[in-house]
Parts: sequence; C-alpha cells; structure tokens
Amino acid sequence: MSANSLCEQQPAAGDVPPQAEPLRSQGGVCKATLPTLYSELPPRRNPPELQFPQGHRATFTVPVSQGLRGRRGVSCVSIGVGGVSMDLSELEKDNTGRCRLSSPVPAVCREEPCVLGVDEAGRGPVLGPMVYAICYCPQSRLTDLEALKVADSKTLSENERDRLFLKMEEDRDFVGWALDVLSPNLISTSMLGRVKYNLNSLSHDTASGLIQYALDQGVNVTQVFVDTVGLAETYQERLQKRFPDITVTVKAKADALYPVVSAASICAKVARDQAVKSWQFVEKVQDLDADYGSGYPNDPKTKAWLRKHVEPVFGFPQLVRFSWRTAQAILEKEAEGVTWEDSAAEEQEGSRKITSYFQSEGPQARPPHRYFQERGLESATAL
Amino acid sequence: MDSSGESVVEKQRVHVRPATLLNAAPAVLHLLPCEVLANRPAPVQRFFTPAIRQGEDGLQVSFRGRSLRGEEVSVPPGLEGYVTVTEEKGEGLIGKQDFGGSENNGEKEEQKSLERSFDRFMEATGSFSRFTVWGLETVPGPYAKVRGALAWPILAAAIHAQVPED
Amino acid sequence: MASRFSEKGGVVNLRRKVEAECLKDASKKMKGGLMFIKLANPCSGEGAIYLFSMCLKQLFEIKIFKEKHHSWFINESVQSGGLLHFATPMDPLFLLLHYLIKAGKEEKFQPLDQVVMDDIFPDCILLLKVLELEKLLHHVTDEKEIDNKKYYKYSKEKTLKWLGKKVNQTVAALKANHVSVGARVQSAAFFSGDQVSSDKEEDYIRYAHGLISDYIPKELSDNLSKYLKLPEISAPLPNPPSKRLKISDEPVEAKEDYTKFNSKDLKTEKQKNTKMTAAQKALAKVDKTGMKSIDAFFGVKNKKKIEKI
Repeated sequence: MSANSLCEQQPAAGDVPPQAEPLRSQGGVCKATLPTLYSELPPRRNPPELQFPQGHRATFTVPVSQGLRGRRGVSCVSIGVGGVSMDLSELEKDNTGRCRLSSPVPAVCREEPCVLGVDEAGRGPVLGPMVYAICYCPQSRLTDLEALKVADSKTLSENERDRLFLKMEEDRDFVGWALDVLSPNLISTSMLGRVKYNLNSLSHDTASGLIQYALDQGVNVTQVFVDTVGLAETYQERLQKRFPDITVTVKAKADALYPVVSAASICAKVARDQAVKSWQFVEKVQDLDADYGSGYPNDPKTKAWLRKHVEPVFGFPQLVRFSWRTAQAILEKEAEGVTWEDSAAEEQEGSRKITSYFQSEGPQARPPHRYFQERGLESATAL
Repeated sequence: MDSSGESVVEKQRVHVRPATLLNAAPAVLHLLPCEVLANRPAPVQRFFTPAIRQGEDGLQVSFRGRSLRGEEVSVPPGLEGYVTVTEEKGEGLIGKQDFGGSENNGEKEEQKSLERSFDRFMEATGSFSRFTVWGLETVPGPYAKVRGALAWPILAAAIHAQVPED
Repeated sequence: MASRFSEKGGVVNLRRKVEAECLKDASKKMKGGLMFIKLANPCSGEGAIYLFSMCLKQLFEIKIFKEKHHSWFINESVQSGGLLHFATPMDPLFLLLHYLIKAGKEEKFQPLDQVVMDDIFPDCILLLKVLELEKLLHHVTDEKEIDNKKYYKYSKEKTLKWLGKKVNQTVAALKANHVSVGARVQSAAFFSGDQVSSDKEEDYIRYAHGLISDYIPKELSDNLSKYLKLPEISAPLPNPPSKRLKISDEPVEAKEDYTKFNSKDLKTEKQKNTKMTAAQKALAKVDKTGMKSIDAFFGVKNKKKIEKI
C-alpha cells in the first residue's frame, strides 16, 4: 500500500474533464474501419467445466441467442488511413485483469540517455479500462518527437490522436512505448477489496511498474516526466525514492508541457478508446446498446446506459466500474441487495439480535456441541 | 383457527415425491460468500460462468465488483445432492382436522396412504455430486465451515452405528 | 392435493444415495415412502425435523449447514441463505429414550406402543417401524415377554453402558478423522494434524461425550459424565462445549435454541391434554421461540423476501 492513500475511492470532481469528451469520434475518416462490438469470428469455446444441461427447470433457463453467443471482435484494427493501430488482441483474450502491451525497444534507446514520459487515460469514467502509458526517446531525438507536433491528448481529436500514434509507430527506430491496461474489473475489485486499494495507489504503482519495465527492457532512462495524480510533491518524492538514479519531475499538466508526456498521453488515450470500442464483453450479453456516451459519470447518456443495463442480480457487465459512486447508487436502487461478511451495518444488526435472543433464555441454554458450531451445523427445526 | 394451524405444523409431514429424485437432472451449484437478498431467476450462464478463470490459487471470478476465489468440493461419498422445492401451503388446507385417528391405527396405516390432506410435498428439481465454494478474495480452503460440514456424515455414521455386543 | 410448487423455495439437500436406488423399485407402488416428520429432539425436547424412509424403515437426522452471508447459484437462479441440508442415518434409540425415560418413572414394564405416544409429535409412532428395532431395545431396557408380547422398562444402567460404547466408537472416529479435540482451539482448527497428536485421551472422551450429549437429555448427559469418570471442570455445566467455546473464537451464543425443554415441561405433558391445548402449547413453545427467532436472525426466509419483489 502506498503512503499517499487518502484519496477517495471515487475520483474527485477535478478528475473529470469539465467538458466530457465523447468516446466516439464523429470524424469520418476512420469510422468505416472501426470495429463493431461483435464481428465474425469463430465462436468462443466454453471451458468443459462450464457445460450445463439445457432445458432443465425451464422457468429459470434463459436461452442464449446463438447469434450473439461468444462472438469475438477482431484483434487488429485499422485506424486512420491505411495504418495499423495498436494490437489489443492480448487484452481481448482476457480483459478481466491487467494487460501490458509494448513496442519493441529501439536499439538507440538502449545506448543513449533517454527521456521518458508517463500519462494515463480513462481515470474518471465509470466504464472501461484505465490505461497507463509510457513513451520514451533519446534526449538527442527529442526535437524529432516535438516535430511530430504531439500535444496533450485532450486537446486533440480522436483522428488526430490516431494519426499521431501512427506517426510514432513510423518513428519506431527512436520512439518506444509501453502501456498497462487496467480492466474495469481490476479497478472494481481493487477498490472494493477487504483492504481498499484506492485509485491513486493503483495509479502510482502502475506508473512505477511501467518505468521499471522500461529499465528491465534495457532502456537507458535518465529523466522521467509524469503527469501528476494527487499531490505532485509527494508523488515526485515517492518516485524519486524508488528510482534514485533517474531525475524525476512530477507536474500537473505535464502532458501539455513535455512532448514525451504528450506522446504517452496519446498512446494511453488511443488504447483506452480502442479498448472501449472493441470491448469484448465477458458476459454473454445481447441487445446491448453500445452508445454509452462519454463514460464519465456526469454524462446523462452514460447514466442512462447504466440504468438501462442494470441486471438485478449481477449488477452490470464487467465493463462497468462497480466501485464508482454512480454505479453503486444505481445498484442500490435497481438491483437486489447483497451483503458481505465485511458489510459493517449487517454485522451490527446480527449481533444485536442474537444477544437479545439469548438474554431471554437464562442460564439453562445448552448450545450445540462445539463440533457443530465450528462447522455451521444445526439441527433442522423447519424445512 | 390459528392454534389449530400450528398443531398441523407439528403433525405435518413433508413427502418427497420419489419420482423426482430419480429424474432429477444434474444441476450446477455455486455457494457464494455473500447474501443476495432475493430468490429469483438469475442469468448465471451469461454473467457468471463465462467470467470464471483458473488462477494460480484456484478459480477466480468477480461478483458485484468484488473478487472471489473458489474451489470445487465433492458431496461426501455415499451421499447424493438434491436441489428441492417444497410446495407452498395450499390455501384452505391449514384449518382442516381430518387427520384424527389415522395415527393410532398402526396396522391399517401402512396400507393407507401416508399422505394426509394437510401434508406438504417436496420435489427434487436437480441433483449434484459436487459444487463450487467461493470465498471473498481467498479460496475457502480446508478450514472453511462448509468444508468442515461436509465431513459430518462420516462422523455421524460412527456416532449412530450400532454398538458392538459384549 | 395441491400441486403448486414454489420456484423460490429451493433447498439444497444431501441425502443418501441408497434411498434413490431403493425408490427405483418402490416408487411406483409406494407413494410417500420418504417423508420429513417432526419429532421431539431428544436433547432439547423441542420439535426437530427428521427424515423417515418407509421403504428402508430407517430414520435420518437432518443437520443444516447455515452460515451468515451465503447464497446459492442453482443453475439459472439465485437462492438466498445458502443452506445445505445433510440427511444422515440416525440411531433411533436416541429418540426412543426420550419416551422410555418418561415412562420409566412409572417403574413398570409396558408395551412399546403404549410408551411411544405423543400428542404434540404423533409421528413418533413411526419410530416403531424402524427395521429390527426389537433387537436394539435391549441396549436401553429390561424386557419381559408374556404371551408372545414384549414389555419394556427403561434401564439406566444398561443405557449408560450403551452410551459408553457410543462414546468409545465416537472417540475412534474422531481419531481416525483427525478431528481436533483439544481445549485450545482456534475457530477453524478442525483438521490440524499437529494439534491432534497432542490431544489427550481425556480430551477425546470429553469431546465424544459432548457430541453424544447432543442426543440425550441433560440429566443423562450428567450421569454419563460420571459413568465415564470424566473429571469435573470448574464450570457449573459438565457439558464441555460451553466452556471451551469461550476459549475458541466461536461466539458463545448458539445459533439454535435448545433450552425450552426441561422437567417441568415433561410433567405438564403427562397430564391428559386435549388436542387443542397440545396445539396451543406447540404454538407457545415452538413457533414463538425457536423457529421465529431463527427466521428473524437469518433474515431471509423466502416468503418475506418474495413478497417484496
């Protein structure tokens, strides 16, 4: 656990861009080639233990439409004019956890001192993964990177980001990148863990992990620039401590100030957008409305989507971050109640009842033998 | 009226419809580490089973954004698991007292049906010989209460076995 | 006969396979061969559910696994509570003892069908149908045969000897199954091999005595403790579990009410009651206390929840 773990579970209001940006670009160039949620590929094979007898208890069996069952999206997606975008096939194989993708390390980056930028995309949304990215190049080639006119990804249109990412791919002889896709399921289960692992800690640890990954790959990192999460000072201190041989700069708006951070932000944003668009639902959902709006909690479209797709028992598909207040509020209203052993309110209620119950019984009580108590067994008094 | 209803409860038998035991189709069961405050249909096959992964420390899945770890356990040898439903009490049956005398006539009783109008009935709707036990974030493991409970039939057999003669 | 079945009332049972096999032959001829009945729990005197197979002429005890915060997914449905019922063969003598002891106070030999009678739990007469019951009775009674009819009288001495053998075979099973019986128990240490090796013989006997005591009235449990020469522990109750529970992490509070039945109840029951009074008593004793509280405590009895939906 990180020391700086005071941040709330839900990102503060400041994390949400004032003008929520639509996930889907309206730009015409790439639209035709964008993947749809489902496309034609062989159906997913069910693991053998999941085989299930059909037809039994007919009222409860929900037949799964063969038309949608197990279809998979394509793994390589064309974005922009004739280029190949990020290969997210690894993520699509399993998007329930964490997935790391990276470019090959340019040979020059092993030799020359390198600048490395760190940025993130998709921190605020209630839907989809959060993507952390690093981008690096030799200090000597920084002007070449600037010449690409990389800028803060938020100021760019989706088309421009896609185009810039492709340019970086063309410059793979001196620009390298790596990213971690943190699935919404990973975010939910971390933040809702018995020991809460908040989003800031998760972010910091992921950023450190990526810098370490670059070092492990042999990148000669000498300078790191990071767009801050939480307080810049404490974050910088922590990173500096972790990487004493590297000059670390943590700054707010680093993605606008340092081209290498801008480049990282473009990588992150391209990956995030693509991951959301080509999201492989773990669930065998049908009739799914793909118009989730921006994914930000304050977007009415997103809220409407959540409300429409709430399932009374399971809540939402894993695309949704259950740990977001928006999601929880909808579940409280529209899904069945669920209590866990660490739900505090439940515990209190239970112990109060049992105490009052036994007070009235006096000293005659003969509780069941400890053998039974230790195994949760009791004699049946009713069926 | 009320009290006669209660006396029926004490005398009431719940008959298992035997054919349902024989015909019970295999059922897939998961024991969850949380209480879902509802009894209702749930799209388990669409939302839950496809998300199960085999991890290093057992099975993995998530439910309502919480991480679960699971393991498959077997019904103790010699036992068969059944999922049963008990018929809801039919209206108007509760107050009837037409059971008088049938208990005392021991010899006739075996010929007569053992079912009385105020009895209830149980059907098996599924059978199972194993199920998956889920723990919150950790595999339940051998110390979980349910794992202990599954060892009860072996000890029960010893307690209730006939004692040796002198 | 009503045939509406609740879709929501799913209960998960574990039952002996042999029944199903037996039923294969019998199912056509014998309706209702297998049934749940309510009988007096021999430990508490309260009503408890047992399973009786007319086909096997066998009695089964029902234990329910019940822990907070569980639910089942059963195929394509969710069932709150996560209950698991175990049906295991039960020695019918434990249940008969309840009646034999009561009748034994009259100090006379009586035919069994005059002893095993109960206004509240009339299904107790099914106990008389248990296979080869007469061969078992000599463990706990003195017998006389007059004109081919058998008469029985409760024998405390024989019963203690029989219970002593029960304790012995339970001890053997505890050892064979590595059940940890020591006084120092973590809540979950039931299979700890290290601990088992350090457990003393006395601990095993005390533990087995405690288990057997769950099937006999308190007075007999106290007598059995003396019979086994178990050293007294300082607590007023000779029943070890309540004391040890404080050592373990288990809550001292039991999840089940076993307190109601005492000698006072026995006496009142002896009086000739009309059916109605017996019924009222049943209402007063069982429903208002045991069952209702447990329902409330576990909170999720189907009907209440369903009505909300």
